[in-house]
Amino acid sequence: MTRLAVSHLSASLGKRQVLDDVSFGVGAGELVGLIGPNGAGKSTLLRSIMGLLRSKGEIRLDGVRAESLGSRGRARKVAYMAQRREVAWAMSVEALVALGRLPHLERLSPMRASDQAAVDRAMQLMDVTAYRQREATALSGGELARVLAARALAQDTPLLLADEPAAGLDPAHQIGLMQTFRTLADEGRSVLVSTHDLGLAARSCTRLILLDRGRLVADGMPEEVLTPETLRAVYGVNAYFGEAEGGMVVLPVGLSAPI
Amino acid sequence: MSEARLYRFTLAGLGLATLVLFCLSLMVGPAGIGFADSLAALVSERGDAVALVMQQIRLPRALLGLMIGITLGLSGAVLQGYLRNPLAEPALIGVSASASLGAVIAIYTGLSALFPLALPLSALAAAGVAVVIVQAMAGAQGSTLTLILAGVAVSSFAAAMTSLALNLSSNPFAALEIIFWMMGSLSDRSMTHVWLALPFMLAGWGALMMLGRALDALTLGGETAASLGIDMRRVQALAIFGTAASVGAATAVAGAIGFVGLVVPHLLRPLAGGRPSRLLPASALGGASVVLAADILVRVLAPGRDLKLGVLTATVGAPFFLWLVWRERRKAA
Repeated sequence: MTRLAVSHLSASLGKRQVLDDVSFGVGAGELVGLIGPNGAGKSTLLRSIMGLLRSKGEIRLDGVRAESLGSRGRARKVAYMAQRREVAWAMSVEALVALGRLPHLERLSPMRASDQAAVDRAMQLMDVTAYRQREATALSGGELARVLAARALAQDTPLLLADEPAAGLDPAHQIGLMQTFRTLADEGRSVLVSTHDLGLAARSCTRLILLDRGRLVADGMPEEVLTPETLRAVYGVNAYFGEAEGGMVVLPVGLSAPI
Repeated sequence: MSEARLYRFTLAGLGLATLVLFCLSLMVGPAGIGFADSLAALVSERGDAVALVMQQIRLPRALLGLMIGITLGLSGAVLQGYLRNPLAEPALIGVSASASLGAVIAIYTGLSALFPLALPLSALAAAGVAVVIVQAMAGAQGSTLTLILAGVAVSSFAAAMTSLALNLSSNPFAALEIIFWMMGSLSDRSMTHVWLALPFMLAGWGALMMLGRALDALTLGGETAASLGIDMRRVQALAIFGTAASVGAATAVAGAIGFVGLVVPHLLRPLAGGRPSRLLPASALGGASVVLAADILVRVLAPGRDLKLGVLTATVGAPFFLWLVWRERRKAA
């Protein structure tokens, strides 16, 4: 069964139509990259799937209509990493990561051993265990990004939506993050991740979805989606294509037409 | 875990402080009554002078101090958490100003002279009207900005109406009474005030205490909280109604007591490890301690002069607020 099925999804921000009749599915074990230029509708798509925006169309999670799950039911199925990284209070990294367990806790009941284990594993995967006692407001941007990723992993859901999670990370942690997503997919989970790093997406994802001005214009294997013609048409760039360590290399090198 | 232990010490310390201050509040007054005598008089059924003083003057005063302190500390912590702003306070949503206006109307029209409960009842009614307006304005979308703007508008209107009442007051005594009432005080309250305020406060506290985990999740922003299964509309409704019921009742029986709801949560936040869910009970106890201590101070500092509680909390609170702003500015720089 398709883990996430999006059909005929349209959404508007104010009077501007941001998503126009988008349909696709994500299966179990898939790591799907969501790409497209600024304003293509990537974040709007992810937020619509989360029910954070009003949208038209249908979203099904494991075959069930998302609206019928209720907010807690949905939170046990999908975790979401927002693009905007926000922490209001100086709480410890461990307490912050533990927030990911909220959908699994009954009212007033404390964390169980299994919850703590999920928190520990998430911190380990994101390489933030060493900061567990530090205040989250005192971290660097990249450190905070990894802590927030750990928060989403602690939610331990079958589906993970991540909105530009790699932005602001150093190269090692970018690759590490995508490898972690790969591991989650190999465990049978599904990950949909938006990014502007075409090279990273090409090397890590099994499938790419390309949005342009609210429409889905390509959906397929990285080498099918990332062609010189599409990059020129959609992004307006010329790119260097190559191969290294058994994977595809895509590097935008110049503008194909004056902006 | 040192953080958890620090928090337990904080709660225990604040609980002890509240208990001690509550007992002290029962001891302080113009009639010098010994410790043992006063405690005995609290439960005495003889109806002599000592029993009367204890049961009908000091006990309601101490109880109201406790209840109002809990209300201000708790609602301040909830609003700061909900709005994710350390400068938020209970008066922000317009309930305090509206309750004051209700009380002023009762004094202005002379209703309060006809029967004493007219004042708090009128204040409660006005607070109710305010919360309906604010909630309707904030609407189903749950926007915090709209909530703040609606609160400012309602507060300004209530303040303007209060000024109008003072302006048009033909009776200087009524005007004086209005001014003194607005300063906020716990003197000359009876058990009737306690019984009037208690149900509203209990309902309000109940609503506010349910918000701990939701406020924890809100630390990461509204959308992430929603993605964690938090129903943001429910959170907003509970925050508004809980604050309105408890703060409305507090203002109705004691007038406006400022800065406690602003300062106490801010001071205690580091001791709660920055977690709103832990801050709620700590701030409730902290608020109770501060209001009880301030109400003891007004009696000790100026016996016989009826120094107003709200004047004292604002006198101490405003410089603290300045320091707070200064520190925030330095942090932002």
